[in-house]
Amino acid sequence: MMKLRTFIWLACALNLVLILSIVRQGQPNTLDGPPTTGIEPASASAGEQITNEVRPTTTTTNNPSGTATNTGPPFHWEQVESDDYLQLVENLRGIGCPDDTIRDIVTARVLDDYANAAWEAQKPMQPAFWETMGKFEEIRDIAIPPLIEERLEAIQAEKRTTLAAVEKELAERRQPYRLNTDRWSFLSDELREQVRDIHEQIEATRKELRQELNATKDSETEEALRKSLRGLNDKRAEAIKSVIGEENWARYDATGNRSANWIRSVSGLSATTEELQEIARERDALERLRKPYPRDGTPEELDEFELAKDEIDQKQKELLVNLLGEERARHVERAADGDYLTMRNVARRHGLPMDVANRAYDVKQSAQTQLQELLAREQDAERRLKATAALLLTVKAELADVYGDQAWPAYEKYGMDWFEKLTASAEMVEDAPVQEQPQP
Amino acid sequence: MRNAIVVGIVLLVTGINAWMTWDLWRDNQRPPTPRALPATGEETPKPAIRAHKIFRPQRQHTSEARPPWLNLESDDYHEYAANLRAIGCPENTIRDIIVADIGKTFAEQQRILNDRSTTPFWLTADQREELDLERQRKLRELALAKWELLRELFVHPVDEEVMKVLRGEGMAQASLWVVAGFLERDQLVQLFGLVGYYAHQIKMLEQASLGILIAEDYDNARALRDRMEKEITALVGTSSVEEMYLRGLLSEGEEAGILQYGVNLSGTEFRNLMKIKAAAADVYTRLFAEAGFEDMMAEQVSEQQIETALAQYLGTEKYEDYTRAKDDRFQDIYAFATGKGLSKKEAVAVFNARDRAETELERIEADKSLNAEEQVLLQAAIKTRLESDIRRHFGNNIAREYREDGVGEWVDELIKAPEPAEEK
Repeated sequence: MMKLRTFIWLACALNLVLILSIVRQGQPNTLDGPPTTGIEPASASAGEQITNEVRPTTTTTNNPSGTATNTGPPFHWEQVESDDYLQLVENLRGIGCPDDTIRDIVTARVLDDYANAAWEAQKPMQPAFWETMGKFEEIRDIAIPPLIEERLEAIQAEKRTTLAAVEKELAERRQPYRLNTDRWSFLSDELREQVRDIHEQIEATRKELRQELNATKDSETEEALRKSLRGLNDKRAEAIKSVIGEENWARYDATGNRSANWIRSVSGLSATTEELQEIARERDALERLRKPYPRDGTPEELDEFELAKDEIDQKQKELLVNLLGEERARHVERAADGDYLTMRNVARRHGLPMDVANRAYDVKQSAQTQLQELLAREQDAERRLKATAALLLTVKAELADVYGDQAWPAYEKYGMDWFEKLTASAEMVEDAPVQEQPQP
Repeated sequence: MRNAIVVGIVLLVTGINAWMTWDLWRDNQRPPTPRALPATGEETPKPAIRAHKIFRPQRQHTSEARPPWLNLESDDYHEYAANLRAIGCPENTIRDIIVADIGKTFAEQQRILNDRSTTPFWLTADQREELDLERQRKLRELALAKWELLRELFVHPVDEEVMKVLRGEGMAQASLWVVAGFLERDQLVQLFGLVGYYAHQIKMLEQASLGILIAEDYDNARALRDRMEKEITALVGTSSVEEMYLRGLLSEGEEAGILQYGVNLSGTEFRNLMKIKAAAADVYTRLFAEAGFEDMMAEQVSEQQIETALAQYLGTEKYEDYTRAKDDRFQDIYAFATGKGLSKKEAVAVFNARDRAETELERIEADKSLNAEEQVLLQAAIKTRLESDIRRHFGNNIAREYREDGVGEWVDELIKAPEPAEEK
């Protein structure tokens, strides 16, 4: 009997110990941060304190969305929270929050706190809104009561100081340089990366030089810095040339002129890479012959300029015909017509092939030619009117046919400006007195 | 036998107790792991913006997260938000962290999509156009995914751009006060988030249309408009929407500033005037119309009906004051006259003389029965009478100042000297 009683007493004692152990281990840890960065928000000093009257008492919410949590949190926000912005930066660093996120949190908080304060400051103006606002034509003219204006200015000034102090505490955010242009796309990944590095270095130098330039008051230093800044692009070109070689540099260089960009923007032109390159090269050579516009030139000089300009324009037209043939050269002219772009967009919106737009453009061209011929040919006003009406009807029907039932309403709505003008031009001829034919 | 049962029960209880203790001890020895908390929304396919490693690749080497903060972060924004909520982080701070993070992710994805560094240079316009259209489509999808994610996370979404406006100063802030200064700022943030969300949707519709709106676009726009109205009304109520609309109309319409030109209206009358003007179209329809969906602006009330309603509401005298005050010509005359200590009556008299003179000049110009000489004679007579009217109402001295200061130069411009006949 004695043995059993002893056993029960021992078992009870053991269970008691185990229960106590369970209770102790079950208690949640309140701060599970790294021991080396333990935070003591109440006593930690973070240099200058930036607290202010705009910061309302922070309230934290526990799981406001009602989301269930399955285990105890690693720390509680209250242990990080501070009404002093710099202290908050320090506390967030202490729990391993990266500077980028600290910047997001603290900058947003500063801006919101001051925006809230400014919002409250303007509130007294609201009740008399309809009595006063009709007296100001522009928002900038609104007369703000002096007391409110003073308060608003004080808020903005304090905000700037606070933001500057917070920014000073945080590491500078740097964006890597990106080569976001297709001009280097012909290079291998490795060479492109080297070119990017050179750009990045040069841009860093440029930034440094500009900072020095802003800081200096010495005119000689200023001139030297400006010279260095001017020379940076040449320096970059030399560095890149030495990395990628002369041949690659020439390929890159050929993509940097206006002619290259122009020929790449000609909608509806079908051409090979070689053709595009050749047109760009030849056209650019002609472009280089252009003389600058003589601003204060004599009439003779202006005439000379116009003649030279027309000559180059003509040569550029001939160049296109020589390199592309007559039909494709016309396509280049077509692309410069805004109506053609609308024709394309209507086709595209309805999933129609681009040939539909090309055919619609042909209808337009043909209508213009036919109308001109008709107006020149038909001298009798009544007959001309009838013929014009018939022609325009036919043109409209052709366009409707080209676009089909589904797309025609959209084209009729967005693309018929040229048709309206054509109609108006025909009507203007109707009003004008008929010219007498010279007698043979 | 009885003893054996007692011993068995004691052993069983002790065993259970021992197992629980050991299990708890083992659990406490595990290293901390990120808490995978249940997401707040329903399980939906993850849009593009969530499927990427979000912020860490963008961080600088010096800006790496460390425990215990590291344990909160997650590439799943729902989980990240839930983890932040679990530690009692304020909702506004959660929003600041996640909105900024999503903004950076979005910018990075945008940059990747816009990166042309590997696209061949020598392509025809059509080839490039195809690539660009595809790129634009992807960018729209990405932006949509961003906004949808923000909505899932915060119901009333805000993005970085919206917050930038709300946190701005100067004119941006003054415009907000004018239109919505009567709201609480928290309410404004939510409202602007919704407006930003819908403004984005409208922009997407507009961009995808290539400037060619088809029936399907209008169907989408109308559905969007209805949703927008429903959500915004639910958030701030009809009366707040109306107040903001009227204020918005006032700040950009021709009624801005008319009360300084001799219109005697109370605040309530002025507001009611704007309400009558606003009947032309509701605020949502107007927003869509401004974005290119003009056909939605089927005028609920015609211009003529609005003018009639205004005349009825204001009465003859105030209505005349109101129409005159919107006229630039009257504004100049009134500002000059009152600046010289004259009354509204004199300003109105000079304005009426000008209006009459201009009407008569138009009539003379249109009269084909008059020859050039007769026209010149009549014009000169009108000018003389006008000058006499100005002197009569302003007095000789002020009338002279009026002409000399340049304010009244319109009198000379009204009747141009006839062009000299071309030499043959």
